[in-house]
Amino acid sequence: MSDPKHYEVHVTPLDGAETYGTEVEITDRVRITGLSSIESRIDSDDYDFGAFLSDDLTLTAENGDGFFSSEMDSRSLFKFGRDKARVRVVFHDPDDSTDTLVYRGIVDERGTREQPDFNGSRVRLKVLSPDVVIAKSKVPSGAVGSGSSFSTAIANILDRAEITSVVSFSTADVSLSYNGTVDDGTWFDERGAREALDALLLASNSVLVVDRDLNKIVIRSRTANSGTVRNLYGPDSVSGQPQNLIELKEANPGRSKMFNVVSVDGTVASEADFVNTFGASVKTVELGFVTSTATRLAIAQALAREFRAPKQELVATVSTSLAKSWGMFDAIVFDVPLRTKPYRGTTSLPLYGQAKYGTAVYPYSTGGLKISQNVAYKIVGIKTDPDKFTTELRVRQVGTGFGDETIGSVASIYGFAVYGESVYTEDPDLIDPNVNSVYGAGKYGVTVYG
Amino acid sequence: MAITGGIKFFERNQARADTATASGSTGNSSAPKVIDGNIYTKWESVGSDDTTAETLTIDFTNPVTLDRILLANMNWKDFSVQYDSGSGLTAFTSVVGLDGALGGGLVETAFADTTAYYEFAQVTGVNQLVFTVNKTQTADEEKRLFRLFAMTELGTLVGYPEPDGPNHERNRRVSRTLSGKKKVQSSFSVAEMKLRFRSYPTASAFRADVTLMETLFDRDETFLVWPCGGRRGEDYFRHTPKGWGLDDVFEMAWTGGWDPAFRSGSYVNGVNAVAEFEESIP
Repeated sequence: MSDPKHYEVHVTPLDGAETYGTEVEITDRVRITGLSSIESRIDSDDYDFGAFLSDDLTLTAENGDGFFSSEMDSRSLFKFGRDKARVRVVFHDPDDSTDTLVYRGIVDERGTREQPDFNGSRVRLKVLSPDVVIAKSKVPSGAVGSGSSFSTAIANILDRAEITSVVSFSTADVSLSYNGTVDDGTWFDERGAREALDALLLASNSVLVVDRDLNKIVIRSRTANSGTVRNLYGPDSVSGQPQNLIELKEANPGRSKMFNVVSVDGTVASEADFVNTFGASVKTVELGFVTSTATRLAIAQALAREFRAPKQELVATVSTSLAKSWGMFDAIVFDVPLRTKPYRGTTSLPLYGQAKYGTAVYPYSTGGLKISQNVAYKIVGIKTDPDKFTTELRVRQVGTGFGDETIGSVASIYGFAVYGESVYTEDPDLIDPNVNSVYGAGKYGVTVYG
Repeated sequence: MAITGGIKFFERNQARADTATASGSTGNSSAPKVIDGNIYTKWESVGSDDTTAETLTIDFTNPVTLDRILLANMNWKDFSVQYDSGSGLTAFTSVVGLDGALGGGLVETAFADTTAYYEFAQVTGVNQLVFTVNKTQTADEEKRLFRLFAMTELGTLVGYPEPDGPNHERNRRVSRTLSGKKKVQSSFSVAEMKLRFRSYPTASAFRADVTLMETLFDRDETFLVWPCGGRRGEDYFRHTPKGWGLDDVFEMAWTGGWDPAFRSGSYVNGVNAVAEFEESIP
């Protein structure tokens, strides 16, 4: 039998106050159900926009020999304590003989639990994303100077040994969507580093992600990554590619994350066109370190522009083998047509060039979710299920305005006429650029003979 | 010698949209439909009749190895198939069709079924398949083909384990509406199948069937299942329910366990076991 897909877990214990020892593989000690789902996502809940990455993992391991006990037990691997021990989870895929790092974190002693009993002992290790070290840190007084830029303030908060000993940071990895000026640096004094950082990320309309391969912090805009666009195909895709999409769920139009009126400490920016179209959706933000009206306005305008339009969100489930190297903000397009079946009494779908006027019959189409093939989405959440070897991708339409979610001009895709929809028109004024034009599957107001 | 054996199992179809491209001498826009896996879409020539030969060409992204071809749901009467491994178009050898051996390569002049299947001496490094179609079974029709399979065989069951299925499921969800009436929503039809080996014969030929099942069990990739195995007509099936037709080829994966047990616990007795597969995406 060939080598099956599997996960490997590796731990690197501390061998000093801030130094690490040799990595040890503990796969055989982790219970088969003891690897929790691995999740990371941008933004928090509906009716809010967060700017942080949350990435936790729980490992349940057999501890009958004290291997995972605290440093008080001489048998333990963790001679200098479990807290901050490094953890790597690797996905081994024999299909292409690759080992992909799917998670990197550090043990959090506060969340770790031991379950000793005479019938067997287990330890539940709480593993957090390396950026959790930020939450355990405070901003020293005077670290952020009044008049410094947001990027400088972020660097002063993060570029400290207690953080960089766990996860690396470089100013070269800071690219803010809006780089304003801190008016009152004292706001940051002795404040929790996480709180301070979150406030700066919000003000700069940026997000923090941890590059797990390089174990470094990256601060960036919310724009989808350029380059390769990932393709997901549903059953009987228009392009004929084999299905690689397991499930689609939790589709929502994105109204809950739409904010077209933003108030920053009383200074308001409004996106009038979007308010007129969708109604006002107000978000109030308080930033104690910004006192300049101009800066507040710029921040409000940046946030309102970012979140002014509702952008559809979906959760797509795929195999982990497919998505193992995909990352946050990677662009995705869907080829998931409605379920189409020949009209009763016919055996094939009418295709352009085959269907004869007066003879061919439009087929049935069913399905509650229509996804345009021209619309691009970006990944804003990744949740891996190690038990099923599946990955859930939470995706959101790209863009910030009307019609900017498309990835190109209206496409020509060989398809088939859809019952109740297909009407050929030669009137270019009826073209809706937001609706996919499918060659042979003319949609009302879209298909134009050239 | 005609096609022999029972249920057939094949490697994944090499003629797929992600591994090959299709083009036609006419009807070129619909040619990709023969490799899209959709049972409702087809290639159809344009403006053709029995005096006009049409070609359908499959170009493989990477060279492939083949020993089987299946043409599901078509109307061809007079046609031929050749391959190119880099030395120009070449005829297949040792070709056996549904009704027996074909001399002179894969050439038909009076084909009358709607699905064709051929076994031939294995060829490697195949870059291209060319189908040349001259006539249709009803004269002067447009030439059409719904699905093309080009693959290698994994094995054929010699014996006849008790089949349970193919069973078909459309994931029907029934809701009661406000009026009290039901609303039924259906999805695509999905097939699943079990093969029950009950005290399976112990002769060597039948042991190969058990070995084949274990090969499929160990496999991580999907595979093609052809329940009828090329058999048709009342000699084999008094009924031909859904799943047992010539064009019923399913891409499946093993979904159950494999628990072989000697009948009555005696090591020299036949084996009891159950194999389960379901239609799956790769």
